[in-house]
Amino acid sequence: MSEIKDGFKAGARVVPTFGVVFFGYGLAAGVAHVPGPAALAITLLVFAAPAQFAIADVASQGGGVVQLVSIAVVVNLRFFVMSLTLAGTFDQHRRIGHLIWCQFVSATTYLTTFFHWRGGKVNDAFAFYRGVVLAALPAALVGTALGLWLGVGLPALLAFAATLFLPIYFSLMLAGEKQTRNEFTAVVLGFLLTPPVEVLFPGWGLFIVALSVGLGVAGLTEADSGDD
Amino acid sequence: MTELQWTVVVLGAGLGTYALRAAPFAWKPFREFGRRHLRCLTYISFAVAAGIVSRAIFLSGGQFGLGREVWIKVLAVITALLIYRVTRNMPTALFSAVGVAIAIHWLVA
Repeated sequence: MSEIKDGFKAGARVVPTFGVVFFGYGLAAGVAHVPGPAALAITLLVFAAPAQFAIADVASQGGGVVQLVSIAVVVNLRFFVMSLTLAGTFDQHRRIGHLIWCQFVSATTYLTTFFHWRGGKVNDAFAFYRGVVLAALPAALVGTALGLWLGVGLPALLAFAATLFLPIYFSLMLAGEKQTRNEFTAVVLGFLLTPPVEVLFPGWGLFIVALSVGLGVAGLTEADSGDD
Repeated sequence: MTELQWTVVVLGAGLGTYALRAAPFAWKPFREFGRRHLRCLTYISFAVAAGIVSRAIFLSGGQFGLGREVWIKVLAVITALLIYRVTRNMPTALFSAVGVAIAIHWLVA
């Protein structure tokens, strides 16, 4: 129970960002004439802001059912890698629970859990992850509902402040990690390469860079070990 | 689009995304793969976290953002790291840095 609480506390730190991102999605969905119940159901069942923005965008351009479903699945391919990582950290005795709660794997829930587990601060990564989800999910739903309901933006200063929580939180998380040389290399490459690749391949940059950097650094490490 | 079409979109997008999330938990070969290649997946996790930071700082609407807000975000991150170095307390560093960013934004507006 205490690890769920710890996870909840860790998740609560990104609640403002989460709420505002989904508030933005609620606004975009309203503008794109996505019906309110459908917009809320998408938040619950897709639970991935980038894919949800893509759905709203394609819907606003008159996209059909196949296009909307395809764009959501393609944008969410990264979740496979995230779940692959979490599956290696969760205990192996609660398979049904894993299959239920994996619905809420997202960049925030996955990274928050992974870094706490890796730092040795968490024994039961699955319990911690559930705590993070319990903080993040209501923020996403409330944010979406408020966005749909209010239909107008936050004051500019508050909207700007809310966008700061996520990058600062992950910066602090990275700073708090003891990193090997290879991990530090992955951080530097991820930081430098993601923005330009994201501009070249909108919606894919983060995924392409992270996968390339992970495979590249791991490949180089293995080559070095082979030389030894 | 009709109500039925929206229902299909919600279910299709939800099930498609769920399949991607659940596959590694559902099939043993994927779990084994995850355990065997945890080092590579760790590098990927670090790159994702760093990428989220730089994307949030430097990109705006899918393009490189320039000007004041980028510098305020950079300053906010540096402030947070400095405060964290001194206090080793994440919430203090997080909220202080956001406070500093709001103050600078307000002052230069």
